[in-house]
This record gives sequence, C-alpha cells and structure tokens, in this order.
Amino acid sequence: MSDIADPVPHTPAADNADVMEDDAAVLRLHPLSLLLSFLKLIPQFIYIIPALFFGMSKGGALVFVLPAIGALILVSVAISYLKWRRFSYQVGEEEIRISSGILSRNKRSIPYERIQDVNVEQKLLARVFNLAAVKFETGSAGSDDGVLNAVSLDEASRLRDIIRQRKAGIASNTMADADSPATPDAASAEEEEEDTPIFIMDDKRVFIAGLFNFSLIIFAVLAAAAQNFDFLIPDEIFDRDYWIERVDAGKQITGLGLWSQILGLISAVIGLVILGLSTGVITTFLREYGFRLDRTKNGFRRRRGLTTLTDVVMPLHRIQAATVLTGPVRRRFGWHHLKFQSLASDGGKESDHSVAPLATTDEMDRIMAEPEIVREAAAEYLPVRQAYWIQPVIIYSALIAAIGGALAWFLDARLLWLLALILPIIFFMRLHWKHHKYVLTGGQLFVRSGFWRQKLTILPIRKVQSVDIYQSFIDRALGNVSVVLGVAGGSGIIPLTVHDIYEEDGYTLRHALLKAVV
Amino acid sequence: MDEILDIGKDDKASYNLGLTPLHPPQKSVIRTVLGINLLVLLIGIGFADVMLAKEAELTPLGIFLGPAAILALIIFIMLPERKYRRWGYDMAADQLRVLRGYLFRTDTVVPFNRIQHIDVAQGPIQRFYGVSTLIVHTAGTHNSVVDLPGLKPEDAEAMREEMRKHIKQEMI
Repeated sequence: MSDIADPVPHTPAADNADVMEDDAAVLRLHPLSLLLSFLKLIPQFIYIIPALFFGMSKGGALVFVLPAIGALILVSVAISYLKWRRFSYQVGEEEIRISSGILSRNKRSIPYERIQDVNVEQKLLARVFNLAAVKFETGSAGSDDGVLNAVSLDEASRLRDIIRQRKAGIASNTMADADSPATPDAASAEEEEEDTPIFIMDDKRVFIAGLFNFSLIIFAVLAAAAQNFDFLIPDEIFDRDYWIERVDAGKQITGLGLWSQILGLISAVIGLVILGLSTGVITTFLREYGFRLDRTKNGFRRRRGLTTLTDVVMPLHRIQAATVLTGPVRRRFGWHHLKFQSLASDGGKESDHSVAPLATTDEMDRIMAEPEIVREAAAEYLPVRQAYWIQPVIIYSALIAAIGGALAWFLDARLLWLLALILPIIFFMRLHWKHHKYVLTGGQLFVRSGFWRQKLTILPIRKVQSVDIYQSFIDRALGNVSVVLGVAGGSGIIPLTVHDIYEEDGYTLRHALLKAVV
Repeated sequence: MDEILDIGKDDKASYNLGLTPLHPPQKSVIRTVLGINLLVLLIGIGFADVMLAKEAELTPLGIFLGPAAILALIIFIMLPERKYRRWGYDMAADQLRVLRGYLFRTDTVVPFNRIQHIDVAQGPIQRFYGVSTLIVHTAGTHNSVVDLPGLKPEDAEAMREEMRKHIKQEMI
C-alpha cells in the first residue's frame, strides 16, 4: 500500500523517456466527475439495505453494522478520489496519453493516426453538470480504447477539434480518407436508390436456401417448452397405462406385422424431414425475404427481411476477408453462401456480413470483384499433416476404450460393442483432415476447413494483424506447428488457423505473410 | 525478417529460441505471484484438512496438508525459473515478436504498423521489483491484446517510442 504515497521516486527514468511529450500539459478530469462517479456508486449501496435490516433485526449487531457501512462508504469515496487523482491525460504533438490506475498504473499512448473517431457523449447526469465524456475510437478490437469519463463541455469540443485538425493534417499527406461513420453512408445510399443491385434473391431462391437450412431445432424448442410449461400438460400424458388404455398400442403394433412396422418407421422419418425442411424454409423466409445487395459509392448496401426489414451499409475499405460456406449436398447443386468479415464499427454491430446467402460461383465472383478478392486460388491447395486427424482419433479412442471397458467390466460384456464407435470417428476425422487445406498465392491466404460445414476463408494478406505460431508439447515431438492469424472482425472464439503443418513450413508461411504487411 | 526465420530453425535447443530474455527481476515477480496463489490454495486445503480431522474425525490430521505443502514447496522452488526462461521477445526493425509458454508455446509476431495503441503498465508487485508490462493493442479479434511483461521500465518506454515512430499512416 505504501506505493500510493510515493509514486514519484520509482518513475524518474520513465519521465525522462517522456521528454518529448513533457511540453504537453498534464490535464485532469473535471473535479465534478468525482461527484459523478460517486453518484454512480449509489446503486451499489442498495445491496447494503438488506444487511441493514438483518442487523436491526438482530438488535445488538446494529452497533456493528452501522460503522461497517460508514467505513464502506468512506472507502468507496476514498477510492473514487484516488482514481481521479491518479488519472491524467496529455494532448501531445503526435499522440494522446492517458495515465490511470491507483495500484496498477497504466500509461496508454494513442497515436493520432490511429484515432478513427472522437465521440462526445453527454448522459443525463453529466448534462446537469455541463460535463461530457470523450471517447477515442481506434480500430482496436477491444472495447475500451480511450475514454475520458468527464471533462467540461468546452474541453470536450476543444479535444474533438484538436484531434480532427491533427487527423486532417495527417490525412492531407496521405490518401487515408477517414472511416466515415455509418450514418452518412446510409444517407448517401438513400440517394442512389436507382442503382442496379449487384445481387438479389427472388422468392424461389429464398425457398431453395430454406431447403438447405434443414433444421430440427423445433424439437429442442418443444422440449424446452415441455420442460418449462409442464404444468400445462395433463398428468395422464406421462402415464403409461393411460396410453395403453387409449390406443392399446402394444397389441396393435405387434398385430400389424413387420411390413407395417417398417412402413410406420418410414412415414415417421418422412414426417421428420418435412418438419425440418419447413422449419428451414420459414426461418429463412423471415430473415432473407427480398434480399438485395447494392453497390453504393463507398461499398455495399444490404436490405433483407420479412417482418423486420434490415438495411446495412458496408464500406469497402472495412472488408477484411471473405468466407465461402457450403456443404457436401449444397455444393453438388453449385450453391454457396458468401460472407464478408468486416471491421465492426461504432461498437456492437455484427462483424460477419452475409452478402449472398445462396449464390452460384459466378454471382459470388461478381460480388467479390468489388473488394478485389479472388475466389479461385491460382495454385494447388496444400494438405496439412496427418496428425490433424490421428491426434484427435487417439484421444477419442482412449476415452471410448476407457468408458466402454469400464462399463463392460461392471455391467455387461456386450457393452464392449461401444468400441465400434471408434470406426466412424476415424472415418469422419479423416474426412475432416482431407478438407483442411491451405495455400498462399496472389497476395491472398486461402484456408479450407470442415467436411460437413465446408468453409473457405480468403484473406488478403495486407489485412493480417498478427501471426502466431502455436505448438503444444505433442506438436513439438511431431515437429508440427499451427499458424493462427489475427484478423479484424469475425469470430474471436475460433480464429483463422492453419493446423498441424511442418514447423519449417509454418515459419516460412509466417515470413511470407508478414512480408506484405511490414 | 530473415533473422527471425533463422532463429526459429537454429536455436530450437535453447529455452527461448535465442530471443531476448526478460528483465531478471521478473523471476521474482513470477515467484511472488505464484507464492501468493499457492498460499491461498494451501490455506484452503489446510482448512479442509482440519475440518475432516477434528470435526468429522475421518482422516488423521495433516494427511492432505502435508503432501500438498511439500508439493507446493517443490513447485515454488522449481517453476518460476522455468517459466521465466521460456519467455522471450525480439524487437526487430518493424515488428515485435513475443514467445511464451512451454507445454503450450505461442510465438506471436505483431508488425508495428498494425498496432492501434500501446500501454505501459505496472502493477504493485511489478513496481516493487522494478519491472513493467508492455501491452500492444491490435485490430485483430484474435490477439487484440498482446502482453509482454517483465521489461525494464526504461526499456518498455523506449520500445513504446520506437513503435510509435513506426506506426504508419496506413489505415486498416
């Protein structure tokens, strides 16, 4: 705790390094922000009320509870104050600097080149005190880029003007047309209403797309509903005797003979298929009805939807990568789903834009020509190493052998048949491996993956943000690595990865990928 | 660039592929953090041990705590050194490389002109031992934050300046 008292002696060296920025004044947030942050704390104190009542009911404990609450409030106020004391910012020649933190100190440096927009926000409470929050947005994927929680309104507009000027200065030297926010784009798109669409889906196309969206999710929904609303279902439904009495099922079914049983099974399957298909068609119609993609001045504009019509603009320069999705059946008919991975802007918007839910290769090529992405790789795709399927097969087999063996030992020897499950696992893992391929050609990285959900990701290498080479201890023994790519937008859970290639190939791939960036 | 490629091939035998090691006091930081975590764990085990022995009278006193304490001591002595030497970084002319982990090793390269903003951070334990963490933020959803802990504070600041100079105008 002593380091609160003496923050200075530890950082003289750091200050020396800052010489360049030292001429920029060190500024603090508005003192009233203290009051603001304390007011924000109040809702948290509501949790204390039950404690208070509990204390009162115990009588004697009150002597204990009240000082405790007092201390808690005091500590919160002290923390708010210290936070304010320890928060400062500098507007330098080339960057904004923000220092923050009581115990853990953090000094952030945001170069003007990287600030894409400055937002000035005034919430109700801030308005009362004539304060505003200033948010600097950079393209970073995290949400907390740079926030000044409360400065005076004058300071806010001063900051905005300074940054816009500095940015304009930078922009005039280069081509960089600043990322314009979505609204002006939308407005300009409105004027270009007469544009010929680059891709549209008529009802027939939407219907076909629906057929491929076969889904039995309805059963999950019904099961969940049955779980939650079981009080609505009459008790008899779970009563076996009730059903036997009603349909005299056992006798009837056995009485029908083998062929009728098979017929019954077939009709049940057909019923399921019809249900699955119609679910797919209905959900697809709701989402994709009237799908229309236009080429606007700055990029694309997509409109779709039956009940809720959505209208999205995608500036071309924000597009990072293209994804082509298909499946073993869909592919046979020549249908693909094209998506663009795009830089999410202004927080919380979808970053995976579906631009053609069901398209032929020609249609896709026409769309992809706009952001200058080429769909066909000019070179042969390269396979990855067999470890990609052998490794999971070994793990799953061991697991199944252990469980199956234990069950057979304790329950019934026939359960050893469970081991047969290993065969389909080998089959599917091998298929999965066969469909994982990659190639780097023509300034684009192509990565194919998946057998059932076939996915082709095409990444122009100038959009690469970072490259990892990952190696587990097993990979090391086998001389394998995986190459993991940092790409803006898209899923953070499953990053774009080339799995299990030779260590040498991995380093060569990274070398080639980065050559274009630096 | 070619150097980096070569390092990866040639110095495989060395713990961190021959990259720049972290500032030595970082070893103490790792040890202190590990020590605190182990202590908390041991207190929990000790509590359970006493409860099982005294209250439930199921087990002899110390049957869990004893071995756990010995194991913790071994970990405390052995692990920090090992963790420390698996870290490495390389500040090339135009990119930062960070290597970490052993059982699961990740080797990250971030080109300077892909950096969005940079933090130099210091927690209380780090300050005590005089080390800083350099944090670079990129636009990638994967690796949106790349941490490089255990730098000499001056080095961290100097690296930050160096990177900022390289941040080019090119917008993503």
